Amino acid sequence: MEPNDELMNEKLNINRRHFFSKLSVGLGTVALGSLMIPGLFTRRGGLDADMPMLGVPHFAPKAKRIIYLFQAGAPSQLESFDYKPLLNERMGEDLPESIRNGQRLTGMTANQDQFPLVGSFTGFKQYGQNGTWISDYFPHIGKIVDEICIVKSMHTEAINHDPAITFFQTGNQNSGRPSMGSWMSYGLGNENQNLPAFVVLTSRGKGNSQGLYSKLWSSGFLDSKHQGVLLRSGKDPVLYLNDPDGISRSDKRMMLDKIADLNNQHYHRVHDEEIQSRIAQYEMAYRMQMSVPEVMNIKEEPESIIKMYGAEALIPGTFAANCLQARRLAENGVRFIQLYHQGWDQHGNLPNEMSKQALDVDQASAALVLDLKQRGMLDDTLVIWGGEFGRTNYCQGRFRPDNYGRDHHPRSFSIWMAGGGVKKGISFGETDEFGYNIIKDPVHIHDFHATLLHLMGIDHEQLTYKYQGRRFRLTDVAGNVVNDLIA
Amino acid sequence: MTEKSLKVFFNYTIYSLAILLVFLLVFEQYLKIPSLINWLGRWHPLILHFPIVLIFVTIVQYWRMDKNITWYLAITTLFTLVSAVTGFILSLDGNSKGNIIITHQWLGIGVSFLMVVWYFKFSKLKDKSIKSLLGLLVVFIVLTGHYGGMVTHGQDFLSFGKSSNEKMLTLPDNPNIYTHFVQPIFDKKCVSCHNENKAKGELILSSYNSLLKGGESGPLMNDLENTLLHRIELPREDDDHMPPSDEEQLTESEVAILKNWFELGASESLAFTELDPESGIFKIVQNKINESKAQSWSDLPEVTDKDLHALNSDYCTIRRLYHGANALQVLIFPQKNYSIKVLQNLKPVSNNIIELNLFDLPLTGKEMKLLNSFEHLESLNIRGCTITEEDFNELEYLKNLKVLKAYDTQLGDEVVNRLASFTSLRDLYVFNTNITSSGVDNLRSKNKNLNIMIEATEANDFKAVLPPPTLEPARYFFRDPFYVKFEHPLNQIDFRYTTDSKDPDNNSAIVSDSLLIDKNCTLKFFASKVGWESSIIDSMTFLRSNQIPPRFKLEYPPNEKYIGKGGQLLFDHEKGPMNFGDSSWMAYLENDFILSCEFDEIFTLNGVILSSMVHTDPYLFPPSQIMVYGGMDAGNLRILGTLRPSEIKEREEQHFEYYHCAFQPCEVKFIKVIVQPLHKIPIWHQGKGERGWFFIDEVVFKSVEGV
Repeated sequence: MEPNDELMNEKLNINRRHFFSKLSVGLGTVALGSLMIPGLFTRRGGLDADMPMLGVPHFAPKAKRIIYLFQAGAPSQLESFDYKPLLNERMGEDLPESIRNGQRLTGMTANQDQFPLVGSFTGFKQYGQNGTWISDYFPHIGKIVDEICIVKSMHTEAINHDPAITFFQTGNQNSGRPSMGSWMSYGLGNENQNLPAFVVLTSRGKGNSQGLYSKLWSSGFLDSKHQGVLLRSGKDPVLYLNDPDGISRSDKRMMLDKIADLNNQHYHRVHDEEIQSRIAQYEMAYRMQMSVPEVMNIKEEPESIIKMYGAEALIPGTFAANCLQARRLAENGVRFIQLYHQGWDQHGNLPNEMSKQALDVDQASAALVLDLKQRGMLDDTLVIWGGEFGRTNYCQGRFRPDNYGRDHHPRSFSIWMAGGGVKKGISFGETDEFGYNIIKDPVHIHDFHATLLHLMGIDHEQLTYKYQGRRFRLTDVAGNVVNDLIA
Repeated sequence: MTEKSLKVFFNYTIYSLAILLVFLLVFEQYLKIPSLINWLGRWHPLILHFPIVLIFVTIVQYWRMDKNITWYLAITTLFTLVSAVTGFILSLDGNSKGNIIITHQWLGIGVSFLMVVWYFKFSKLKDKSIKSLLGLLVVFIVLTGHYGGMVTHGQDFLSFGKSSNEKMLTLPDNPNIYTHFVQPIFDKKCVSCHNENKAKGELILSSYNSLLKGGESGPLMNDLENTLLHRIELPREDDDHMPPSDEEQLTESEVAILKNWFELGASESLAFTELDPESGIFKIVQNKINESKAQSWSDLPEVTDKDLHALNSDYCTIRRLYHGANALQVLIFPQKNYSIKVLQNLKPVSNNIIELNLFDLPLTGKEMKLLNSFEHLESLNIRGCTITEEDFNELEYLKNLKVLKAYDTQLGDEVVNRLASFTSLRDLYVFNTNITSSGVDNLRSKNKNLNIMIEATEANDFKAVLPPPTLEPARYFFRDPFYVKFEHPLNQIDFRYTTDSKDPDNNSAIVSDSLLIDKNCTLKFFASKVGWESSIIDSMTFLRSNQIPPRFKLEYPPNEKYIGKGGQLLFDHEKGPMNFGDSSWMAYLENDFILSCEFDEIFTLNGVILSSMVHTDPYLFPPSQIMVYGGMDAGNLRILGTLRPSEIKEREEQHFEYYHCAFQPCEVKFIKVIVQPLHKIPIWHQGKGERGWFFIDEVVFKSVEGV
């Protein structure tokens, strides 16, 4: 380092006068700094010192885990939780321009010259202490309406499935960001070291389906150990988890130990965190070989439980079976359990298809909430049910008096939540009588995410990860916690 | 004025003031102070500063042996006495004197007395006695000043320490609104000026009764208006606004609490549980209760991250409840080599554990005894654990235990008495245990505050429909007779069936073990069980096919997209699945299906069954015509039968279809089957006019012999 020596010597050449004056100025500056940067001397220092430790909630949480029953394809809110009798009265009339207000249409209906209003073919009934209106397609959810909070004023910008589901799961319409479950795993860690923190279960109804992509449960730029694990319904719940024929568990143990040795050596040279993550994942997989089959084994469930969920719960791969699995996973400490049920994209043939879709999920969803309640888990488990956007109040295609379909409608839709610190037995937010615009308490997806994180004890602005030069968070640069939803 | 006359002036003034002071003190209770004198008394806080300084200056001058010391003495004594007199008058202004005022008064009198003595006797006293007098004087003036400060600013005015972080009392679960919320606000922000010692506006806010009594303007709450609320809601700039604008103001939530409490009647006994959950005050109180809970956790011994890290393992997770908290949550999962050591290792942090979860573990009395040392345990979960009642009863009363989850265990009524002794318990979960409803009633009667959850009764009327059974083996085509069993995921199922194509009902025969299938039949069946709704009726058709031609050929190959396994699929007894792309299916579109078969032995043919599939959406239709030829030699075949399946009139969902061409029995050695796919799809279909696909996966030759 020869070139630096001269510079160094120059700098070290200092007389007493200069030394003392610089010292006093320096100390003064540091003192000023300690006034402006809190904890400059007590903690690690710098602005990052404010970031709370990972793996622990920032403040006392209300919910410790989330079960998200995602209805992929977008179920119609007008046939489920948003009762609009005006549409039945005005059946067949054109949608007034004043209501539509230039809302962007999808390519499927943009060429329609008429937008005939169509009301629900199925009736609505009032349930619960507040006389909440629930469609006849969901009578069991009607029975638990006093436990849930229906948010009718959700809205989003995305108008098609892929960006919309991506938005819901990752906080951005473009892919590449970590999903909700990964953020939770990153921020809160695992309660049970033998199961993944984030599990995904999928099922498919008979209705019109849209695809699901594994990017929806990917960990994005977070450590890959936070990614969602898809548990399949067949003989092998997790692909490639079981040892191949001829390898015993102790052999596997020895092999893993040796691999870990090699990986650790590599890590000490390269210091890539992904290596540590990989080692941890091997270990997790080893433990999962035992724990996953046990958790998935529903043979020990008492018959009364099967009755509650409906006998479909015995058929692996159905929504009901997934709900029962979700409860078992929640009992065993999994942080974020995501169910997907496809088939809700009723562009046509809605009365027929939606009734079948509803049959798939109605009883099982209600049973899940009640099952959690009787185990005392509903207070710290948040259950969410909803799709990626709503459906239009006008008919897609030519209006026929016996059958109809609805197009996508991002401007307003309904979801419900239960447990986990959410207010019980209320409806939040309102849409206008046409079921088109929101007139009260809009909740954007970012607000929804902020509220979820808040219920889990995380300040959504504090859970960040620095990537590509800036700090990302699930709510990106927006999101306000909706305090009125919180009990 | 000459020096002498000044001296005379001072002498007499001081003398008279001293006598006045004594007079005032002696005849205190008979005095009625006129308003002008009252007003003079209010100058005390101004005048008192003079004696404080002057006394010290005089002492210093004395020490310096100043020649003019008498001059200092005179003026000091004068001011001291004036201050004492005005102070006394001020103390009579308002209601009864509190302790602090009395102490302050007598200390002040002491100062005055000492000053007077020094003034009159200063030349006569010896040095030593003057020094002790001065010492006393200093002590008295300091104390007087201190107590005077306490009168004005409150008793803790000088106490050092963070006053904002007062140790909040731990709130009980059902706090009294007045005692725990309203009065503390008064204590913190109002009582310094509104107490017994100093009662501004004659208002005392240190107790409920004095609150009711009110002050100068009368009782605080009458029908017309509430002065207290009025004052605190005034804008800060307003003169009448309370607290005074230069003092610490009330926060929004404090104003809300006071407002709500008054609106609800300002009752002394109002408790949290009586509040309406919708009211604003409810939420504030709830939050404060939660905060206080968190506050009480702040008294727990400290736990470092290092300690936690050491205790965490693959099967035992220990977490802080939230960032920075010393309150811990523990989860212990089952492992192959579980031992009580796992719990014993928790001993160093046993006082910090608030929540303990033991899942599916074999617990004994030893573990329960260990738990007795977890003093701060609030929530215990022993889901799925195996433990006897005897062992469970080793658990003693933990005063903080509020929640116990014991579902999916074998505990029975013998634990009821033990549970009843846990008087702090608020929530008990005993779903799926052996505790009977009488045990629950017993427990409820002993502990009225306990919520017991046995099951979610809302689910009692959830419809429970059985799934239909499955048949094993599901042999659609068979050669030799076989037995078929009914399989079902649940136990104790009755399987009812018919073989005559009629729908079975609750009177139909029940399968005892298995059914013998030895001829063509259509089995219809459903599952039924007590307490469940019966399943839908499902059906399966069994076809006996034991006439397999050793040699056969197809005149035209099938459509290149659907060749399947080739011709052998027609006699392999395998049923194609719903997915017609499977290799068990072959399909014809442009060409006819022409199958020629040759047999080694003659048999009597009376029908041909073709197994097919219909699904209108992808253009799978019934064929327009099926013709069967047969005979004894290949060149001389005659037509045996023709079948024209009926045209489909509307859209049909995907389903299997069997075309049975039956005819008079005929002895054959050669058979030829010709099937013509649909020439013209009917007009209601979007592919009208085009050809329809014909799919086939099996051909069955029915013979008289082989029934």
